[in-house]
Amino acid sequence: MPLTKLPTSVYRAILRREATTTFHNRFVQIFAMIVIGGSIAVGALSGRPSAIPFGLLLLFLYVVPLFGLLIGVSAAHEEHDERAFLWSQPVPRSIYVLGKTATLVGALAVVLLTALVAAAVGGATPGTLALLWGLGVALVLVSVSGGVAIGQYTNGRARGLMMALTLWFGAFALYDALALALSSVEAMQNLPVVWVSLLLLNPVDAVRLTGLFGLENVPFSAPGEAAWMADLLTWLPAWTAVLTVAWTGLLLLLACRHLRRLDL
Amino acid sequence: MINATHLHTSYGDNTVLHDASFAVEAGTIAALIGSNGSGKTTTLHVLAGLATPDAGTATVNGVDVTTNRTAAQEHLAFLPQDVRFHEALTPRQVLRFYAGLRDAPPDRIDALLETVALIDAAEKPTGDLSGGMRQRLGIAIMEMAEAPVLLLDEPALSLDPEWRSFLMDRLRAHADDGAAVLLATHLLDVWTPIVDRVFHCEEGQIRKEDANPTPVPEDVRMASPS
Repeated sequence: MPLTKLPTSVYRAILRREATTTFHNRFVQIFAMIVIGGSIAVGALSGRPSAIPFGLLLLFLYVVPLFGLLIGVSAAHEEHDERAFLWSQPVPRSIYVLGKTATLVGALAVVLLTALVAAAVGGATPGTLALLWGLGVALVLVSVSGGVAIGQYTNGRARGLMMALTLWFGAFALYDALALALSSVEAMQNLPVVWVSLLLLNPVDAVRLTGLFGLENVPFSAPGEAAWMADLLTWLPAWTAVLTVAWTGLLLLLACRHLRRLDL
Repeated sequence: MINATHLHTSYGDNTVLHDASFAVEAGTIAALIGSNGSGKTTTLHVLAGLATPDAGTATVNGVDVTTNRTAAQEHLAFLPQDVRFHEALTPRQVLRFYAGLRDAPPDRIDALLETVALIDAAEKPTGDLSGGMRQRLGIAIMEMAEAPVLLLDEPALSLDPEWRSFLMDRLRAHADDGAAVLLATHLLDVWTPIVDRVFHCEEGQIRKEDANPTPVPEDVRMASPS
């Protein structure tokens, strides 16, 4: 049955349930405390008001991908014991994945919104606030989708959380270390397109670059043959949006496809 | 109502169902009996749309579960062996959720909670409920569905004699109203009072079918349900 043909009571039931369970999710509670506490610390310790948005960007980059993955995995595993009941109801299994993801993304997006109070108090412009929130939500979308997908592919909660940590370490640190190592190879230095592409395919790096260039508010410039990169970076926010949609869609597609074929 | 034809399911080298065929008509309570690992639960899972057979067909109320899972599930309610819910949700929230999935009127929730004697525990997290209370909540969800086909996996395990007797009466009433009921159990003695048909499941095959096992008079059943 197509999702669009489901009665509205199904959507209401799923969103209500997910809102309640999200509220009880320990990782969500810890995430909210760290983000709100962290934003207060950034506001208090930044020295100059203009530095606050950079501090918040760093906070988002460090905290959101990790917790997004952990929250997605834990939320997916919370319903494993109930699968026999859930899957014998006359609704497509994918509705549970999509409902869970939508609710978690909504909840985390609200938490990020509260973190922006520090920047607003520091005098950040509405454009800066919108950029920071948009980048934070992009990280939430990709990481929660990744966590929910991992939760469908793993049987044990501990294994799922370990996989999430491994993925986070890979995307956050290992990937950049690899790009850095590649850039030191002379042959690769003549091929900037390779390592720029590498950075722009990783959502964490794309958000980092978009945030830094957006907050600095200075146009990128590169001499000679690399001048095309300036054009590319002009469209960085749009690219990050496309990348977010692509990664989120791919991860949710994998999760739904796996769930559709899974047997109890 | 329930038709399984030449079902075959295997997990790797382990064949769980091998050419299993049987039918349960409307108004009938049938029991799938067999030892652990004989394929009872897998058979129910196939019929409930929780598992896909490698070969064969399974229809519920005329709808093929293997090719049209969601449509078939509108005609069935399944009570699993180990009834668990999200531990933070209360029985009322759980029932409201499943009512929403079935587009059932929410005004039945309190009546169902009363029926399964959970009205006083309606606001307690299900994580704090005993196995028997969770099983009764599962029965309420099954009742909520008002489905013409009921599938139950070892439904007596967590229930005390009083609630076993209650469940038997409910299943008999549903069957009398035209429902087809199929339950899997390795405790045939418990269910003999109400079952009309018994399928003996061995090594993934239906080896033998008995009609009308020795009926037990209702007064005897009520006095000694187990």
